Amino acid sequence: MKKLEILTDAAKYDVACTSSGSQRSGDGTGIGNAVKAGICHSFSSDGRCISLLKILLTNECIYDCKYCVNRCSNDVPRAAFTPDEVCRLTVEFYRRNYIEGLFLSSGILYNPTYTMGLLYETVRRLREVYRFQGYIHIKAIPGADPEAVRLAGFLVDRMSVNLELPTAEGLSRLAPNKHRKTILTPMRQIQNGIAVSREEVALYGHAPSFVPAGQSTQMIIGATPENDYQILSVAENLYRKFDLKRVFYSAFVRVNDDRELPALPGGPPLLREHRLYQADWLLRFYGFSAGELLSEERPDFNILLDPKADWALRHLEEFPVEINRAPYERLLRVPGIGVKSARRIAQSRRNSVLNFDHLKKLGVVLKRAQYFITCSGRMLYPVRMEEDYLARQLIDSREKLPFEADRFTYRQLSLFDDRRFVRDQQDYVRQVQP
Amino acid sequence: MEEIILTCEDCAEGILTSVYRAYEWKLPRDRVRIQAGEADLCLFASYRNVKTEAALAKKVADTVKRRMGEELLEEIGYAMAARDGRKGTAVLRVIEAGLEGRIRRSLAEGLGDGWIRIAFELSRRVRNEVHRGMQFLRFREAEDGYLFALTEPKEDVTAFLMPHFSDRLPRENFIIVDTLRKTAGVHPAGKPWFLVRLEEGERERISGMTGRTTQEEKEIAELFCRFFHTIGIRERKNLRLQQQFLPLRFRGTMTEFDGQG
Repeated sequence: MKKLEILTDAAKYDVACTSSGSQRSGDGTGIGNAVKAGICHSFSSDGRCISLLKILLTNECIYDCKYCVNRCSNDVPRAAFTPDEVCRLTVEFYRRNYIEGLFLSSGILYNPTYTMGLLYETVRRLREVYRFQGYIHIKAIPGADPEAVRLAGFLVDRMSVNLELPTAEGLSRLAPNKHRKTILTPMRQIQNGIAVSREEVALYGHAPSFVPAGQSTQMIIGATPENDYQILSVAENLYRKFDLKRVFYSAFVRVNDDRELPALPGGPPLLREHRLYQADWLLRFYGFSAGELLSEERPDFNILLDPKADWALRHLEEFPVEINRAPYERLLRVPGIGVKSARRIAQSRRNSVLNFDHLKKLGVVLKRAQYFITCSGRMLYPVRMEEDYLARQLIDSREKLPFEADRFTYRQLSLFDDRRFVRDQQDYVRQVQP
Repeated sequence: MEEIILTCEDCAEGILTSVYRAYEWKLPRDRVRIQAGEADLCLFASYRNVKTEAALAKKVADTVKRRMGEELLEEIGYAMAARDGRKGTAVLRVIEAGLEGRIRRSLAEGLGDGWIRIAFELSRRVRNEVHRGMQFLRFREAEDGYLFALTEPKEDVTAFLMPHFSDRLPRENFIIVDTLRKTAGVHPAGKPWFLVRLEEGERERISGMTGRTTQEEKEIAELFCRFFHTIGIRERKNLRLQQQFLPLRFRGTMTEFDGQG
């Protein structure tokens, strides 16, 4: 029991806990299936979803990454599961509908290939001996023998390799044992594996599928001095060149005292993380590119406005958009209209002419959208199309932020949310400290 | 002009039979309503009771499937399980619209129309509750090795949950009890599932079940509680966000919230 606590505690900073991307019926002989949209079974006290049993096989680690609780120079209790223990826990939790599947990661025991072998053995046992057909997500260990990664890939739904830090420079400073190249190699391997397997499945129907739910990665935000533009460009590249399904961003939590790590008096940079996720959605579902949202001259997100509203204000010439005629792609770019409502608009305007009342019922957030749209040529209220005026209106209609919704830990926006300020302050601290 | 109200059993088959009768009896479209289950009587209306006939209901369902597609049939299916007096009439209007070609594949196409929008909202409400069931339902293992779950859903969702869990746990004996409606879905291992209405005696037995779980059950539940409490990150604590995703009304039957309200 203690073991479960230690190895959960050690795994909790990993972000990905989604169970989406695979659709599979049970075959009647075992236990489990997978649902395309994924299912969250519970929500922890930080409001994050619990979908998978997220644990480490062991928190022993030969590496010494400065930001990680499990680094070898930390004096924390160490433990390890046997593959059988992991399997039993997964199946017993799954039977009771506590979880959707397993998320298995591990510290590096002896060497990467040995560790990858342990992960493989565990999921093999779970699939073949326990006949588990639910969702499995495992980490590919950078530097492990490609054959071990390949074998594991045929058993799991999703694999991920953590990029850890957005740039090679940050990585070498905070994770001296990891190298950009060893991280990107398995990522490429998985990408190619997925592509080959898709072709085979298309050709032969019953070929075993390789990582059917795709691969993901995560980056730590705010431990190193990259700006938002750099981070978003990295993410964009990963989506384009590595066909990643998701990039996760993790606001840096200072778990170790280390002079290489920034002090964060305001707590983890949650607003920044939130803005990055908003922008990430814009990249994946709204047809935006990183270069449209940010640039070398404006490398960071506006702390007062979400990235889409910010973009709209700088492109007033594109607005207003006529709801009853504009193409779907342009509807998507209107603040206050999401993917769902844009789709509903496109569907329902075929049969009737839409007005503002309809839009509200379709789920459009008029509070924000009203400044950017017309219905049959009319705006809701006469509005000056002027950047300053609209900015004031949008900021006044306060945006709901997930971490401000919590009255128990209410925080005001502070200067610390602005990355430039934090950086200046840290430079200053570094100068005064010898 | 007085309204004509068809009353029927509060179930999908009852409503679909009424739709069939509305067409068969050539009732004037703008004045027909369907009322499933009990409701207040209207003074200026004539009432006709419709007896449920499975064969007629199936005819209507087949027509919907053929003319408007499987997705729309599924949407109507959800809407008919809603606890809402307007559902019968809404379904009737949706089928009319479908036959006239005003909607083809999904309710979302007809959101300009008031009744279709009601059907859409009901359908979405039930679908969400079904999803909540898949998320938050918890099984416990009783002494003789079968799994049971007590639920208190807002809508009547057991029939929608059973296929999901039967596919997932084909080799388990399990039962999902709706404690509010006194019904249960039963799945014997390796066999098809079925629904039962619970009689007085059985109800007693089931409410007694929670006390008679195995030692192993207690250990596993304890393990999950530990997992649940450890996984949260202290620096990011956000109870409001947690509550937004996981409303309090579900927590009464959830293992991880046992003994702490």
